[in-house]
Amino acid sequence: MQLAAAAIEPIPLSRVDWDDRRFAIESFRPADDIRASLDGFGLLSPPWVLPKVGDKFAIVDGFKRMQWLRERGEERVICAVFPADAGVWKLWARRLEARLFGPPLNTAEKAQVAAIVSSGLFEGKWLGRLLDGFDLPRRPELLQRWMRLSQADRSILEAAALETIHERAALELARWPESAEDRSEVLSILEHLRCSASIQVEIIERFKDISMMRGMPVGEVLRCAEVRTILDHPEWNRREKTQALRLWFDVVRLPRLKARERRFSEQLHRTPPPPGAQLTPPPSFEGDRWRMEVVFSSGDDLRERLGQLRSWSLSSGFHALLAPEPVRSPRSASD
Amino acid sequence: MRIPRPGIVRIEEAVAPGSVANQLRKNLPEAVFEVVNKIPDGTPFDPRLLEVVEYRGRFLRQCPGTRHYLCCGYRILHIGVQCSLECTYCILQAYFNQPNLRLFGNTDEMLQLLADELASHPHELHRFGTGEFTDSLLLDPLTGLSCRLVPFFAGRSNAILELKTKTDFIDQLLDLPHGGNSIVAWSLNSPTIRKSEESRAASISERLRAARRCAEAGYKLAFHFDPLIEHPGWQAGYGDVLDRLFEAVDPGKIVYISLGAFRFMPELKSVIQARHPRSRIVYGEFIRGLDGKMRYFRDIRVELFRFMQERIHRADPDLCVYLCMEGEDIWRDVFGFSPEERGGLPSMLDRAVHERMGIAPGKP
Repeated sequence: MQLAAAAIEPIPLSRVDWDDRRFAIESFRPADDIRASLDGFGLLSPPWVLPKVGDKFAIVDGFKRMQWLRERGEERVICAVFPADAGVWKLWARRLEARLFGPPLNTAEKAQVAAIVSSGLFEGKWLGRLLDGFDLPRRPELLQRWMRLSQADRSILEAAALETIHERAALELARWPESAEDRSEVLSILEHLRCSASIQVEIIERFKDISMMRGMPVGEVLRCAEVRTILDHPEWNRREKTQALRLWFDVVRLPRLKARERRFSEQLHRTPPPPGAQLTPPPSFEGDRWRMEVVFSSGDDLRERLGQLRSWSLSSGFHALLAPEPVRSPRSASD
Repeated sequence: MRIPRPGIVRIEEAVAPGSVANQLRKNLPEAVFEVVNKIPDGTPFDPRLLEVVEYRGRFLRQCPGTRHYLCCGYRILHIGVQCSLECTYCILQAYFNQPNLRLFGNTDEMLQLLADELASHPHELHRFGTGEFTDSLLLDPLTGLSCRLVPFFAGRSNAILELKTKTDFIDQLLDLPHGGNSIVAWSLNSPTIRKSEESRAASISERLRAARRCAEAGYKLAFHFDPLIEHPGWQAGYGDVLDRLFEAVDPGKIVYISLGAFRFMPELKSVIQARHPRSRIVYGEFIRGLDGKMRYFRDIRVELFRFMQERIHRADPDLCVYLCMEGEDIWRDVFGFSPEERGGLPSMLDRAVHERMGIAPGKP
């Protein structure tokens, strides 16, 4: 791909079209670092501009630098001025090529790049190269999620850029909930709890699950008394609140499993194994692989404990622990 | 029921002279036919498109069971991939690299492999079915594939064919010389689920009417309540379908009924959410199963299965009912025994075939 060389020449800032942001990739975070650099060293490389009709210039690369100059009241700036007929896709290709080897994109920038590369400007090997280079998915439905994020609420993009919410959570939040108010509510919960990426995604999914399970708007779930009580708890730190919220999710989503766990626990309390032995059911009671752990200090001690365990294993209480009557569906009564 | 007819039939040149392609030309005069050298995977989804390819993979496969749960030992006769019924719960939605309806045009090769397989294991009963990666009868009126498959199995002492469908496309089957070796099977669900999750499939009445006609034509039948989905009013819904089933057909014509609770790969959840945002089936009380799939918490499964088993047992206490991909603990809770105590699940089904179809391979 050939692009005519840019001319390095000064242009008056008064001829910059500040509203033309078609080549902008907004960072959605404060530009303190670059401003500090500019304050210390000035421009290290010339911004790129493209002549427009009406004797104006569109900025292609260097929006922050140009803005810094503008705020300083500079009148002229040395720019790389591309030929007016350079072609949008060639300029984008060059701009993105430069970004490929620059500092990593933040999530908000990556979403904007996803929207650009999949806008139809690029195809074939160029498209593949850019998608791979920016670690974007090739599958259309996954790429679509990135494009959707590029159009998300400013607050989501800012949170993603600042890594207050993780990439996966931002992608989820861009597609759900549907109302901006509810998205904002979920975002504020995530910002409040500051948990890991997987837990952020889990929180978003669980609110959706519960909203769908209960057939109620997500806003009602987000603002329900139980959730508020957890989030506003005066003594819990964010980890404790996260833990409490996840437990609440499980109680709401898995009522019969939780009931079974309670019954198991109560029954175990009534019919405890011999001292030094611990019975653990299969995870979620799925399958028939139960685990018994025995602590002992000597061969004699082990033999004695195994004898006690044998007696215990023959008791009706033990059998009830392993095979209780299944929990009945709460819905069945009304059917 | 009616389905949109394919408007474009793209055929790989290696199978362009084959019987599937010829039948399609005959039965789809209005369609555009394209012959190409090779149809690559990943062709974008086009609902009008039907692909006919030369299949180079395994035509004969084992049912994709996992070691954690008991499998029926059914074998797959792989005739094609995808389905246009678009049931919300279908795993085929996750086949992103082959999103279009696709049939395998090298049928002769498939039948030869099948013949070799049956001949090489003459003393085993082979239960083959075509309904794993597509609906067995969805395109059958256009391809006439059953007109080759059903007679192929007829009269064999060591093999049966199961055609599993949610359609009522059975006219082409009725006069075939099936020899009592073919089972026509329907997947059934409650009227609520059929309406919300299988809306393009035949209605329950249409399926049962088709089943009765097949029974009248001498076919044996099977039914699969899979996926059983817990939803408000599920007992009434499934009970109603069972009542209608046993009114429509003589239970003695049914070889077996399978029960399977809804389960899905975790990745399918987001696909269902994206493709069927109104569907609520993924919001049940699911836990991660031993095979990594999401399953209803075991007590819910037991409750679903017990209800179905008791209702079926009332209609025919000798009818073979089995669970699809469940563990021994669930079997014991539902039936009071484990298949392992009766020689294993495949043997139980072999016995059902023997008892209800009179088919059993001779002893070596």
